[in-house]
Amino acid sequence: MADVSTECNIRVLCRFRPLNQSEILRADKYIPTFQGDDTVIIGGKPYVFDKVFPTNCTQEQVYNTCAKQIVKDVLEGYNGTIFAYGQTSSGKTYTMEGKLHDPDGRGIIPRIAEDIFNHIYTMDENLEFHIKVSYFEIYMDKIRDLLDVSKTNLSVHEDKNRVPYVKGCTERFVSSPEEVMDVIDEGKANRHVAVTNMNEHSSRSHSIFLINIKQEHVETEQKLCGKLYLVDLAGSEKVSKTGAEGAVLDEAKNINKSLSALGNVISALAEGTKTHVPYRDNEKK
Amino acid sequence: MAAPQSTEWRTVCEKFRLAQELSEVESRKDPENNPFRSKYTARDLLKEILCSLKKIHIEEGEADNEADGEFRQMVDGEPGSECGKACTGDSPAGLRATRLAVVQYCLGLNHIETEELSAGEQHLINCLKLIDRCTTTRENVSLFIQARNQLGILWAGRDEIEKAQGFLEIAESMYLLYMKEDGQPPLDLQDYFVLEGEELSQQEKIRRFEMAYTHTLYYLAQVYKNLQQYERSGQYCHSTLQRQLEYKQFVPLEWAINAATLSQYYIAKTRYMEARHCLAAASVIASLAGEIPSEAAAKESDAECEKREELLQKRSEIARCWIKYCLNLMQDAKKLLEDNVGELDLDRQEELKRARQNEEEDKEKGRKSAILFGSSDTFDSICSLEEKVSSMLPLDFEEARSIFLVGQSYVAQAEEYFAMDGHVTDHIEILQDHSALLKVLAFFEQDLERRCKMHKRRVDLLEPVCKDLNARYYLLICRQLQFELAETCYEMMDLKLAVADKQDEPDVHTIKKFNHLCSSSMKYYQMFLDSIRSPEGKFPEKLEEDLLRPALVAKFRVARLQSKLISSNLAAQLENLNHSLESYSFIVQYCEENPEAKKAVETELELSNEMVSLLPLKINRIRSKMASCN
Repeated sequence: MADVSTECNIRVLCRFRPLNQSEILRADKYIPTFQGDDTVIIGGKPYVFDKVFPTNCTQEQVYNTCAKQIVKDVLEGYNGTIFAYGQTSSGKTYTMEGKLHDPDGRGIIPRIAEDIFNHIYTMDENLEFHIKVSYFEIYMDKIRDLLDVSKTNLSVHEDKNRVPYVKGCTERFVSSPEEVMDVIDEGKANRHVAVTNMNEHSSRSHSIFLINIKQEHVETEQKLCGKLYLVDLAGSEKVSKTGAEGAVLDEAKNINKSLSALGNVISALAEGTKTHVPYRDNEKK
Repeated sequence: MAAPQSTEWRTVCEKFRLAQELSEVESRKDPENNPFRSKYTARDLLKEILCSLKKIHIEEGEADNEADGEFRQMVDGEPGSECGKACTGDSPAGLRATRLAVVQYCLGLNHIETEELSAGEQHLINCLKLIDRCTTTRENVSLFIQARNQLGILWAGRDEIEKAQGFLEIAESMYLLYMKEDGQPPLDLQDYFVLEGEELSQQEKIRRFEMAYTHTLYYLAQVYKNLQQYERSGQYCHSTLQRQLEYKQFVPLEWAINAATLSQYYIAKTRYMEARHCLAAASVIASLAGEIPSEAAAKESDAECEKREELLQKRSEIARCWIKYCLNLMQDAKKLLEDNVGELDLDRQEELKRARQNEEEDKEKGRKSAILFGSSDTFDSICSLEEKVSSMLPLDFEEARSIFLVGQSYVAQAEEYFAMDGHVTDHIEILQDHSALLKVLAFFEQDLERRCKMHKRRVDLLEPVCKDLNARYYLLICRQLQFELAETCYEMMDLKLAVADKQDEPDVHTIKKFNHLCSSSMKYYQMFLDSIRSPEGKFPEKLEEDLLRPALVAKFRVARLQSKLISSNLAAQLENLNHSLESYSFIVQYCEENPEAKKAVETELELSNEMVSLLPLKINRIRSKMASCN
C-alpha cells in the first residue's frame, strides 16, 4: 500500500464462486444475493465491501477492478499487496492464479505479469527497468524458498534502508511475461517437493509471490523502487489450528493442556507499554 | 497390592500397558485420514479390561455382597473425612473401586482426545463417583486430583469457567490436605496394573504426583486469567515455575524466558523484589543451557550455528527485560521525588529516606520466602546476581547511578544479538531505552553541567541512527527519534541557560554553544513537522489525532527557540522574532479553526496567545532601534 500518504489505501473486495459439482449433486442451494456492485445479502443481512463479484464475473473483470491500478502504482515506485483470504476450496487460487496458460481463465498473477511489461513498453524510453521475482511459502512458522528447496528456514530481516524482507530468498531476474510464468511454474512444482498431501498442505500454508521493480532514469539517474506482494493465504478455517501441538492457545477461554504453553499465559499477563515481552518462536512477526 | 498372579491378571496388565502405548506412542503415527486409529484400538482394550475386572472382582469372593451393601450408601462428605464414606481408600473394596476408577479415567481421557466430550465427561464422572465413596488415601489421591484436572479443562472448553474453577480448586485443596496429614508417596495410575514387584519406585511415584499437582496450579493460573483475576493468575504462574524448577521438570531456555516474562508482569505492578528474583533466576537458569558456541564453531556446523543463534537471542531477550527493570525502577522513583516542575524535591527525598528506614524487615522476608526459586545448586548463584542491583526505589544520585550502571551493562548484552543490521526495530528500541536510562539518571544529577553531558550522550546515541534510517520505511520510528532529539537539545539549551544565568555575562563561547543547541533543537522539530507534510510538501489542513499534540507542541517549541536565539545583529534579531511570531500565530489560528484541538494543548495555547500580543511590541521596538541607527 502507498505508505507515504496519510490516506488509507486498503480495499476489500469479495468474490463468489458458483456451486461446484459435488455441491450441485448434493442439491445445495445458492444463497447469496447481490445488491448494487458493493453489497451481498446472506441470510437477510447485508454485507458491504468496496466491491462484490457475483459468480458470473470474469477473470478479466476481477483483474481490472482489483489489480490494474496497483500495477500502475508499483511502476511509479509505490508498494502494493494483494491478499486472497477465504476457506479451503473457496476459490482463492483460482482467483490468484486461475488456469495459468489459458487466455480467459488466467487469474490475477498472470495478468499482472503481462500488464507490467505492456506498461513498460509504453513508458519513457529513458527509463531502465530491473524486475526481480521471488516465490516463497510460510508453513508452520517456517519460511521455505520455492525457487530453491534447500532453503527451508529463511528468516525475516530488517535493514535500515528497507522494509523488512526475507533474507536469503532467491531473486530471479525476468524480462518477459513468459519468464514470470516460468518462475511460477517452477515454484509450484517445487511446492510439491517433500509434501505428501498437497491439499492438506496448501490449506495450511501461505504462499507469497513477490515482484520487485526497480527503475532508473538513464539521464537524471533518479531511481524508484516498487514492490508487489501477491499472497495466497492458507485456508482461513485452519489458521487458528496451525502450529505445533500445545504451543498455541486455541481460544482465549480454553485451558491449554500442555505446560509448553505456560509462556503464552505469562506473556498475556505481562503485556504492556512499560515492559519488554520476549519474542516467542511461534509468532512469525 | 494383593493381586492374584493368575494368567487372567497378567493378560489384563498386558492389555493396560498396550492401551497406554497405543494412546501415547502409536497414535502419533496415525495417518491424517484416520487420526484416531490407535486410540480407538486402545479404547476397545480398556473396555475389555473393565469386563475382565468385573469378573475378577466377583471371583475375589466377598466383593459382591460387600459391594452391593456398600455402594448403596452414597453420602457426600468433605474430602478426606471419615463420615459418610463407604470404605477407606486402602481397604480391599477401596482398592477394587480405585482400580475400576483408573480404567474409567483412561476411557474418559480417550474419549476426550477423540473429540467425544460428552462420553469423556461421563467416564470421568464415573471415575469420581467410584473413588469419592472411599476416604482419600495414598491409594487414590493421585486419581482424585488428575480426574479433576481433566474435568477442569473440559468445562473450560465449554466456556463454563466457574465450573472448571470448582473442580480445580477442590483438587488443590485435596493436595494441600493430603500433604499436611499424610504425605506418603501416593500410588500412580500405572501401579494398579502391574505385576507384583513391578510397582513404580517411591521416587517416581512422588514425581508423577507432584507433576499432577503442578498441572493443577497451571490450569488454575489459566482459569484465573480468564476470570480476570490477574494477580492470582500471576501468583499461580509463579508457583508453576517454582515447581518446575524444584522437580526438575523444565527446559532451561524456555524456563528462563518464562521467568523473564513474568518479571515484566511484576514490574508493571511495581513489585521490584519479585521482578528482580525472576530476572536473576532467568539469567542463572539460561546459563544451564550450555556454553554459547564460538563464531568459528558456528561456521563449521549448521547445528552449532543454530545453537549459537538461539542462545545469543535468548540471552539478549533476558537482557532487555533487565533493562526495563532498571529503567522502570528509576522512573518510578523519579515520579515520587519530582516536584511540579519536574525537579528533584529535596524535602520529599528526606521524607522517603526516613520512611525507608522504618520499613518492616520481617514483612519483606516473608514475601521473599514465598517466591523463592531454586534448588540448592542454583540458589546461591541467584542470590549473588540479585545482590548486584537494588530492588528499592533509588532516592539519590548514588543509588540511581548504581542501578543505571547495571542497566547499561545489559544494554551491551542486548545489542549483541539485536544488532542494527537485521533487527532494526529491536535495535532502536534498545537505543531508546538506553537514552531513557540516561534521561532519568540526569534527573538525579544535581550538577547542571554534568546533567548536560548526560543529555549529550543521548544525542550522540540517537543522532547517527536518525540520519541513517530510511524515513520512507520507518516513518514512525524516525518521528520518535526526531522528537526525542529535539527535546533533548531543548533540555540542554535550558540547562545552558540556567548555567549562564549564574554567571554575570555569558562569553562568546557559551553563546555560540547555546545558539547551536537552539538551532539543533529547531532542526529536529522542523524535521518532525516536515515528515507530516504530503508528498507535495503541503502541511495538512487538519491533523490526525495521534499527531495533533506532538505537532502543535513542536511548533510551540520552535516558536520559543526562535525567540531565544541570541544575536547582536538587530536585523537577525528581527528576523528571529518574526519567525517566532509566525509560529505562535500558527498555533492560535489552528486552534481557532479546529476548536477540538484546544484541549490537547491548553498550556501551550495560553502562552501562544500571550506571545502573539507581546511579540509585536518587541518587534516594533527593534524596528525603531534599527531606524534610529540609520
